[in-house]
This record gives sequence, C-alpha cells and structure tokens, in this order.
Amino acid sequence: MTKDKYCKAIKLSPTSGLILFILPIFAAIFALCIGRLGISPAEVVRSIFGRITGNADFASKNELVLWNIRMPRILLAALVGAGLSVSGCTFQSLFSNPLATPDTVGVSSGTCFGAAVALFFGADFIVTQTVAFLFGIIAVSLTYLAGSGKGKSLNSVVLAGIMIGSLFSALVSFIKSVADVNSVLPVITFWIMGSFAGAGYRSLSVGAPVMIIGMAVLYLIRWRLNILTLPDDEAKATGTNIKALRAVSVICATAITASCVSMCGQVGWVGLLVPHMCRMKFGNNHISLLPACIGIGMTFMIIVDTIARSATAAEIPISVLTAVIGAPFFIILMRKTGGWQL
Amino acid sequence: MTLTVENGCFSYDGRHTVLSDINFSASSGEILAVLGKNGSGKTTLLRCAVGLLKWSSGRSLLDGKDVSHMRNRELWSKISYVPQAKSSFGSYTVLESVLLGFGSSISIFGKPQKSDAEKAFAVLKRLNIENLAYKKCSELSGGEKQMTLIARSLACNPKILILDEPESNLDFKNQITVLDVLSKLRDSGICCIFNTHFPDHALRTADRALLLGDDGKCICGKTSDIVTEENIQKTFGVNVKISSVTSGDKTVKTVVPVSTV
Repeated sequence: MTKDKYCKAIKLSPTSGLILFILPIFAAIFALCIGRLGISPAEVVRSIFGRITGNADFASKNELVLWNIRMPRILLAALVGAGLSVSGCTFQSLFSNPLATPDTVGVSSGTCFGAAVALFFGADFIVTQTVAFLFGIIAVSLTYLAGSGKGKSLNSVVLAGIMIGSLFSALVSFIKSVADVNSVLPVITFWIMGSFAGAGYRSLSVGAPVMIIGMAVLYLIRWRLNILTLPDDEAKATGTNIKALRAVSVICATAITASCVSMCGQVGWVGLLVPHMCRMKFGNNHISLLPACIGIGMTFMIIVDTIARSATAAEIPISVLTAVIGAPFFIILMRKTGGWQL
Repeated sequence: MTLTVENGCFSYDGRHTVLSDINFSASSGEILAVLGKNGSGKTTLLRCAVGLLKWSSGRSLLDGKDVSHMRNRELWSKISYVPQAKSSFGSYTVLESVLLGFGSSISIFGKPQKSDAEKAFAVLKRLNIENLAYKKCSELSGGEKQMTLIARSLACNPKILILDEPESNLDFKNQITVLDVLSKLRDSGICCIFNTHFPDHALRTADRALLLGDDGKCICGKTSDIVTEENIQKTFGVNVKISSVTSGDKTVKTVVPVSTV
C-alpha cells in the first residue's frame, strides 16, 4: 500500500494505465457494433484484423458502414472527448479555478461566430471548419490583449474572457437574426448545437493534427503542469519559467478547443465534467490526471455519442445528452467520493 | 556562498520609495533576521533580494554574480524561497508537493524519477515529518503546511534559504520547531534569511539582524547590537525592556513590551 502511494507521486500506476488504455478501445468496439445495422462484436474484430492484414472484403455493406460511417465518427468523438477534457483540465489548473472550462477564455464563442459567418455565406464544411478555427484563435488573442494590461492578474484574463465570449455570442445571435429563416438559420443552429454526424476522414485530417499535437505537448509537460497551480512566487522559486509555461499551456489548450469546436460545434459540459471526475478518482497530480482525462474523456464521449445516434430514430443533440447523462453521474460520483478538496 | 545586496532601492510606482539604499550580506552558516513594522517592506526586501522583484536601482549579488543576469534554473538551484503559506488550488499529497521543488533539476519534458522521490523522502525525514508524506496538503495544520513548504525548498539542496515569516500564524511549539529547524540548517552550512515580527525570535536564533525603518532605510549588524531597547523603540514605537530568563543551563533573551511611545 505504502509503495503504491509512493509510486503514485511519480507515475501512473500500471493497473490504472492499463484500464485507461483498454476502456476507450472497448467503448469503440461496442460503438462499432451498435446502430441501425446491427453488427456482431466478432465481426467487428474480424473486420479490424482484416484491415490490418489486408485481406478484407472492402465492398461488403457491413464493411462500408463500419469504416466509412461509424469509424470516422467514433474517431472524432474520441478525439473531441479527450481534447475537451484535457483543455478543460489545463484551464482549471492554469486559472486555479474549478469552474474554468475550455470556453473560459472565449475560444468556443469565437469559433462558433466564425462558423456562423462561414455558414451564412454558404461555405462548404472545410472552409467553415478553417474559418471557425481562425476565429477561435482571434477571440483568445483579443482576450489576451484585453486582460493583460498593467497589474495583470490571471483573474482579469478570466474576466476579459467572459466579456469576449459574450461579445461573440451576441454577434452569433446577430448573424442568426439576419439569416434566412428557412435555409440558413437551421443550419447555423444545428451546427452550434454540436453533432458528430458530419464526421469524415477529410474533416478529421484537417482538425486532428492540431489536437493531437496540442495534447502531445501537454502530455509531455504534464508533471510541470502541477507547478501552474502554485502561487506566483512559489512557482518561480521552483526554477520554472512560469510565463513560458503559462503561454505554452494556453496555446495548446486553446488550439485543441478551437479545433474541437470547429469540427463538431459546441459540445458543452465535457470539459468541466470529465476533469472533475478524474480529479476525484485520480487526485490532482497531473502525472496521472492528464492520462486519466484522455482515457475517460474518450470513453465518455464515445458512449454518449453512440446513445445520441442510436437511442431514437432522430439524432439527439450531443450537448443535451452530455448534460443529461453527465450531470447525474457527476453528482453520484461527488457524493460517493466526497468530492475533491481545493 | 554569499548573498550581497548593494545600494538596493525600490519603489512600486516610481514616486513613493519603499526601500532605499539597502546594504547587507549573508553567508553560509549564518542566520539573518529581517525585522520591521507591518508594511515597512520586509517581504518586498526579500523578494527584491532574490530577483522575484527588480530593484529600481542597486543590485543583488550571489558570490559576486548579479542575480538578475543569472538563468532561472541556475539561480533557483542555489537559492530557495519559502513564501508565506497560502492555500493553493488542487491539493497534492505532501510528497507530491515536495517533488515540485525539483523543478530546476528536471528537464522540461521530464518528470521526477524514483531517485527524486527517495531524496524527497529523505528531506521529510530530516524535518521529522515523514509520517505526513501521503497526507493531502489541504488537510494539514498551519505548522505542518509550513514544514512542507520548507521541505519543498530544501529538495533542490539550496545553499541559501529565504523564508517569508515562516513562524507567524503558528502556535508556540510550532514557532520554536521552525526556529530550531533554521538553526539546524545553519549548522549544516545553509544560509538562512527570514522575516519576522518577533524581536524575540531574532534574538533566539539569528546571528545577525536587519532592522527596516519607516523611511525605507535599514541598519544591519550583529543581532545583539541591532535588537536593542533603543532601536526597537525607534522603529516600532514601543517602549521595551530586554531581559534574560535562565532556566537550568539555558538562558533566553526576551523583549518585553511596556507601553507605546
């Protein structure tokens, strides 16, 4: 027991590591099976091995459904789940604020505005995704400019983020109000509500690299993220360049969020919920917290999306489900573990 | 190793001088106590001395090398700074918290290894708090929290330890425990500089004392020369008597406040 605790301070325990690795894979296989066209797990596994060894029947209907429809969608869900959890966790630590989410610095509002503008002018999805991403970055830059004047404290950045966020939300409302009620307005509204339905390899190939690089950087500096939560002087006294550390984590976390939102719209809650669940179970040490956010975020998102697309005939908006499933689960966990102390 | 401050002046806004013409030095195996009224700039003095704040004019030298020109990692592997204990976000266990002290010896993408954990544990043993290792920092008492911070600052094996009011907010016993730890560290060759509100504590542990006046100027010297009835009265505006109490073979000097001036 003592040895376990001893190791916990410097690395993720092998058992937890294994669970965090296997859980998303199981969730993905389970999700591949479910849908209007039921496919047995055995067939899914056979098909995956077929792809690896190269002797699969690429033309069969099941293969098409598995690889062209379900697979990109599951990959997107997994990436977004992991991405939003990691960036939410980073923002919480960065601002030492348990209420911080990936949207705290105004990224997702900016991204939504970019998408709304692009959709308003009838752009195709790749253009929409790119414009959305750019506006996410613009929003964060504005937040930085507004919040980092003289006597800069991190709280003023949070305040500025809320201001910039509501500014862009207002602009989105404006675009909606002038959009054509029959054709453009529904498109914008459903896009912002968030959905993985548009997932495809092309969209993934544009958005995924940014997210993967961002997550990889945060993963590599995960021990140092612990230092983010210390008061200024304490952080400096550990010999860390705290300004650079903050800059790197903000850039990674916003890039991740912007590309998540640009690919699938606003998926609420995950960035707040998953990190807190992980903190309760794995503690606040980022050495285990960050891998936990990645594993649990992927699993959570894959499961929620599978329910969203298969529970009813019409698709349920993803943000509705993350809240409906996430909130009770979160409360149960909080009551069972006694929450986590600040 | 010696930390020297030469002609240090500091002002937050360029008009009101907080510190003016500060000169002192402290070397290995020595304890320097910094005394002064509330708001006289004690914390500012320490922060400037180690480069957390920039002197408006003047400089701090570490063995003759200007602190402001030193690289972060180099500086903080020699000096350690223990701020006033504040609660921070997200609580780590004591061991995790002490491991953060290895920041300057671990590469950017690195994380602490088993050997670091062993070193951290050894520091906890040295301070007699190894039983706290797996406790969460949020569950610690004030004294335990202070000891954890000291442990973290000792992790990187510093030559100079700067402590900001390490014993304020602590009960009687913990105050003495912290002061005794300082003496122990001095005996192992570390230079300790600490802020305090208590002239008693300066007399008890410090070899030398620095008294910060209202005008931002300071006097520095042997503790018994600096902490005198006359100086205390001038700086703090309190009439005091300094007397000695003997118990067994131990004689303790104490400063007794009589009345305000």
